[in-house]
Amino acid sequence: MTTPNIEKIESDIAFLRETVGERNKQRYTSITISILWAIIVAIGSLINDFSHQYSGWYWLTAPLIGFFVSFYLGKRASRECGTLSKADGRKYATHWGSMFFVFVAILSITNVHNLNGWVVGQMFMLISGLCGYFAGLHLDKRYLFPGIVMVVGAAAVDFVGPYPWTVIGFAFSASLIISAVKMRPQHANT
Amino acid sequence: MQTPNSTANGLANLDKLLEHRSRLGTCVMLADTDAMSFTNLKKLLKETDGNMGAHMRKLEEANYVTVKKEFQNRKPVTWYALSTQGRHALKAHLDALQSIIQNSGLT
Repeated sequence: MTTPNIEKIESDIAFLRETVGERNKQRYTSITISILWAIIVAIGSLINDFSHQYSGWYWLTAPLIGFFVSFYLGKRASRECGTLSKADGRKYATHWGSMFFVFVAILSITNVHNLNGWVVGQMFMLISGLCGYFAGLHLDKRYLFPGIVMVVGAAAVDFVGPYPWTVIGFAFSASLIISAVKMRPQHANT
Repeated sequence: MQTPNSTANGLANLDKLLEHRSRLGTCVMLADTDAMSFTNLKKLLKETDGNMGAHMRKLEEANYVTVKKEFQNRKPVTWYALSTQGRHALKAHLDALQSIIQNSGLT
């Protein structure tokens, strides 16, 4: 009598594993967040090439505003997806929020060693690219490709001309949007 | 090593309500989140509206889940969350399953 029940349990566990796997795949952030950061980076890269005196102020304020807007958009996307999870929200906020501590460290190094804006920009790009790459590995696959583009871009900016920041910035923005559109989630509640 | 008596005991300790894979799946997924919508649960568990509604009603009647209804973009959305009672029942059921698996020699 017990044998068929054991078989049922095995089958149920396999079903549960598949269902939980499907749910984990749903953990994609809003496409609007990718568009928002594509715009922030595109504007910033234009400023770097054409009005670089405003670069510092732009890159100090725009990402911070972007972070809070992204938090709101992510929360809204989670509702649309049909899953509410504070634990997931904390995981995303901790990952992206930790970048600001790294940026403060970069600013400190910049100040001590009197680094020029160009090198600081490359360091910011390298750290942002790495953060995006790891987000792609652990949180949301859509950030994997843009992360790689940004890491490569951090080095390539020395060799691209005549407007290197604009070219690299627009390439990153394009990769962000292409990746977001290609892996667009299907929201359950809509 | 298989011990038929302990396997039988494990089977006796299973929660009847959670023996159905969709109800068990619902509780497992709710245990990992704060709340999930009816539509999302139905989609993930590959159930029909009617069947999913019946499963959720049973879980609701047993006080294993709590329900909250709201409007999102002018559409009604029903949110389910696992209650403390449901969490305890799920843990007991999973412990019983684990005991059966261990005693039957399955890995």
